[in-house]
Amino acid sequence: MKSATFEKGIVVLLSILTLLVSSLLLVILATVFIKGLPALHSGFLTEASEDFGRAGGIFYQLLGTLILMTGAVVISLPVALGSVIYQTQYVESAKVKEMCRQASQVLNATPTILFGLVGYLFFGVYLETGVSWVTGSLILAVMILPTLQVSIREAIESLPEQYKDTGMALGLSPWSQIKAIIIPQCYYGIVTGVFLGLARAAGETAAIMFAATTFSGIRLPESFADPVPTLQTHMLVLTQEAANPEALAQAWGAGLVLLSLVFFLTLMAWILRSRLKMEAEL
Amino acid sequence: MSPVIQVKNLSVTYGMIKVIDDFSCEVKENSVTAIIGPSGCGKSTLLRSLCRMNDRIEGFHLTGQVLVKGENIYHPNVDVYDLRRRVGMIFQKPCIFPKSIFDNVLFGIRHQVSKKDRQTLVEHMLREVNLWEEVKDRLQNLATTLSMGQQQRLAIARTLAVKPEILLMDEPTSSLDPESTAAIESLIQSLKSRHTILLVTHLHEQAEKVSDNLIFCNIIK
Repeated sequence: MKSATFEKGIVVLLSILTLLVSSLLLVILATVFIKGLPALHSGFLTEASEDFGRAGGIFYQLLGTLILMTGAVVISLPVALGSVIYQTQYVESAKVKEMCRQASQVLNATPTILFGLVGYLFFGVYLETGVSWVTGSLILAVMILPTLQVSIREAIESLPEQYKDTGMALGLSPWSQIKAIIIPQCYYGIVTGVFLGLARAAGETAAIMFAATTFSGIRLPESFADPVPTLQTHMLVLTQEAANPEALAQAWGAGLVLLSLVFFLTLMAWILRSRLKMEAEL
Repeated sequence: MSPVIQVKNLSVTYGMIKVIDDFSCEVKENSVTAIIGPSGCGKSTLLRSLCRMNDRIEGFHLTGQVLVKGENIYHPNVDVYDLRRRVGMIFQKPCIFPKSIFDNVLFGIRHQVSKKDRQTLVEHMLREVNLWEEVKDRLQNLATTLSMGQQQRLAIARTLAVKPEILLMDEPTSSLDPESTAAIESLIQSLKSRHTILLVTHLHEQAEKVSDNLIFCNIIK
């Protein structure tokens, strides 16, 4: 009898914890929506911000965020693809394969502020890229590398073993097999990785705020050495400095846009992933 | 006439497990040789060793010699990709890529054939495996929609397109219905005039029907 009550108590406790986690997410989403919606007006996404962020839109901030994200993926994708292909197709020792996998996991678990710091010292100071969107893209590229690697690795490893046997039996060299089988058959996996990478880059821009971004003074970068305005910097500066409700509302609006962007990218990745699963089951 | 394939004192081990022990045989040109024996006796391993398909399996070790047209295929200077084009392999379960029928036929040779020759080549190959009449109106359809028997013939056409001299077939009919099996068996007969064929099968009837020579395998004790 006593143990039955105990079991019931455990279930209640666990369900409360679950409820707490889910409601936390709901509270955050609801807050951003309620506070952000009033700032949205017809030109919010297409107009430049005015009067130090108090009026206008967030066009250049959004553009800056997109530039950093895209730059990161453009740099990271070939590295991730190349390294995973090497690890899965050329490395034969299981030990070395496991080491590569662990290395990528450790990279994934590294606190992002360290990426920002080390990345800035290495790229910005040592390679003299300065406080610029290039530095930011490079740092973000390293940061999203594990995300891309995991997606691509998953796709390659789920390819039927027969594909490889068949390619081999037809006399295709490893490189021909990569071109004819691996890359085309893993297309959805690679694209899923790209979307997850973009989402992660959009979410992580905070870590590179001081290495790549600016609040005012620049709209569009005119050279590799220019920083860009981003949604994150915009939000941070407005919430810290704003003395009036209009500026604060703008910050919430920017937050809502950022959240929607990440949500959209994750959704795309999710849709593509289910498509990938369907193909693997064919 | 000298033999096309000579296997001399071949032994194969995977890690600690010995799969083939001191095996020798010879195969004549333009003949069908059936390899029969209980499952687990190393039939497939033997076949795969003839085109070095076992190379990437961890722990694979081979002693003895395999000569194809007098050349030791395990010699370090052998171009293994060229070898696999000369010695084609057909698997138990046809592996068709999720592409069109047309593209599947050309899969192994796409870059060696000019665009204008592709159509003729595809037709020629599909006729060779008696599949042309069944698929000529839907060459651009996804090949995975074909029946299992059609897929196996397509796989054979894809291998023939690479122009192998020797064809290794690893139980090519075991996942097929009787009708498709008969189609493959008569295909083997017609391919004999231009190819040397090694056929692994667990059906004694099939072995006697299609082959000129028989090789028996036994499980190593």
